[in-house]
Amino acid sequence: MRRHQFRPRCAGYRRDSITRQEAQISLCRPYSVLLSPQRQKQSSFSRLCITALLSMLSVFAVHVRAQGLDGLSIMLDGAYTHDYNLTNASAWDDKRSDSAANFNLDVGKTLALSEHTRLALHGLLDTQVFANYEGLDRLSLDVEGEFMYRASGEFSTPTFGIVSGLGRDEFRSDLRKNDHYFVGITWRQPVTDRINLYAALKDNVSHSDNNVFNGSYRSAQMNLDYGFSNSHTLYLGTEYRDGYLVSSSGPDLVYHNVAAAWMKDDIFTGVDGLTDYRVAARTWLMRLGYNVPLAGKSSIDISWRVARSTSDLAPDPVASSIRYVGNQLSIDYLAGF
Amino acid sequence: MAHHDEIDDVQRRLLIKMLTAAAMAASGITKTALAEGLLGTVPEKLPPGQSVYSLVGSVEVNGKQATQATQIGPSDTVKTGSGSNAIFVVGGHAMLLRSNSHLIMEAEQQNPVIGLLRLITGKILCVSRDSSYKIRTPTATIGIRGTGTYTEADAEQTYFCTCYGITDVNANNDPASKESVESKHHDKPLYILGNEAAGRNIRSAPFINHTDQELMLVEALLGRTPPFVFPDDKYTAPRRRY
Repeated sequence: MRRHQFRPRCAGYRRDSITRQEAQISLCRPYSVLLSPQRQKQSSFSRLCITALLSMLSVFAVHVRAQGLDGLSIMLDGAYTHDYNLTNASAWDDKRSDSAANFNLDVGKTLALSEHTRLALHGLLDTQVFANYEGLDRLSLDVEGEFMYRASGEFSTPTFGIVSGLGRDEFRSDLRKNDHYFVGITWRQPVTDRINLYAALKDNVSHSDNNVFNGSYRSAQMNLDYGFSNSHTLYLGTEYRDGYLVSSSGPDLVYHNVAAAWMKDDIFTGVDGLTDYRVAARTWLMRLGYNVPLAGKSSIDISWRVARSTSDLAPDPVASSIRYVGNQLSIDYLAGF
Repeated sequence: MAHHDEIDDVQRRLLIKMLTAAAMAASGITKTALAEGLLGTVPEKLPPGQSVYSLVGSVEVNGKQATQATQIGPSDTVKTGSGSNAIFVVGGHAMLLRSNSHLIMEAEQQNPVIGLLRLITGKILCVSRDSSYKIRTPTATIGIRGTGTYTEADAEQTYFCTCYGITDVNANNDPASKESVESKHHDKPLYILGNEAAGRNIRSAPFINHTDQELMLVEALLGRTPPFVFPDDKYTAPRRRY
């Protein structure tokens, strides 16, 4: 019996390569299934996200008109990533590995709205270039805004936020192009002089020209930063996602019992080509990283990511749910201006 | 299948090497964390009679190794070694003294409060309120009127940031180089030099080497908060976004 693989859906942060690859798999229209209530939900969700972003951008425009563009923050991020299981496959025959170079430009502006509130805006340009699987090469453009509230300047006072973003992924393959949106709430909490927490609840949606990627998922995220006296930071992040994923496998009938739609993948093709399935599933993502500040407002960041997905449904009453585990190593050089 | 087994073996060996390296790195990190106090502490106003909030590495007060129980007064000398730092309170002043620093405090005449901080070399973050005092380095003398400041000093130049408040900055060797700074949030960092032409020994500087979180920490030791509500992360090393 074949073993199986899952790929969590792509949305939100563009550097998330494990999740990125899901957006790079797509389904042919003839096989796709999409119910109209979901499309309606996505449509209203899109309106909500766009309304939130437009409101934030309006505030930004008023501020820029009044104060100019002083205070823009710019961060460049160059990264090398190696994925030891690029296809996130359980079956050995389905495993592929590849290396990718990432370049990310983040232009940010923080606007003080009042003593206790502020608005942080970001424009993100992100590229990813693979060594072998060129079809996965990607260019993304995203805008995000976060409205934040903090009651006082005391050390332990938490910061609460409402965040929203939208973006576009352009791939070499037309099938992989998608628009995505998210909205959520955030919480930042200094715990001690060494430990900081970040948590977020988000609702994520993406649209593409095929139905499999017109999916959504909800996520709960927690990140812990541990700071050393030499300014190095050890961080541990975990995220739980519940929603539709795209799973890839060699042709396998058991998937037909749990998948809403499927199609042949157009990157992993050939004799041992893969098929993509749209499946309801739960995913755990974990990331362990270490950040080393360097001179001149730059840093090196090394991180290891693990993703584990489990389908909501089992292929048949006596079989267990379908699972996959993927992992990835990344090295980033970041420079701020 | 044999081909796959070979690849599997190569990957297994690579994985074992990576896990071994990760375990060694984790071991080193854990030792460092334990040495520094594993979970850290929540900074709050120090009780009367306590001067030291934290010590890392080698810290001397008046030539003797400092401990958590050491009392630091307004006429004491504090030295930190390589890889060391000290966070402490003296009267209404809270200070973070970084590594390789040499600080000599001088009390006001007839008053047991700090009148002068002589930073021979090194780096210091200092907050105070409702008190006037001076910071003197090899190249600069700065009048402080109750504020938050960050200073780096060596024989050639001084870096000085008025994190918030009002300061009067003077070059020691050049009476023509002087400047008053009124700052709300790191508005005007400066370099003060020692050997430039008259009137040109004070120059604009970038923001470096201190954070809003550190200011919030040292203010908390005095039971106060800084005048800003949001710490700005642009003053920290760049991080990947969550």
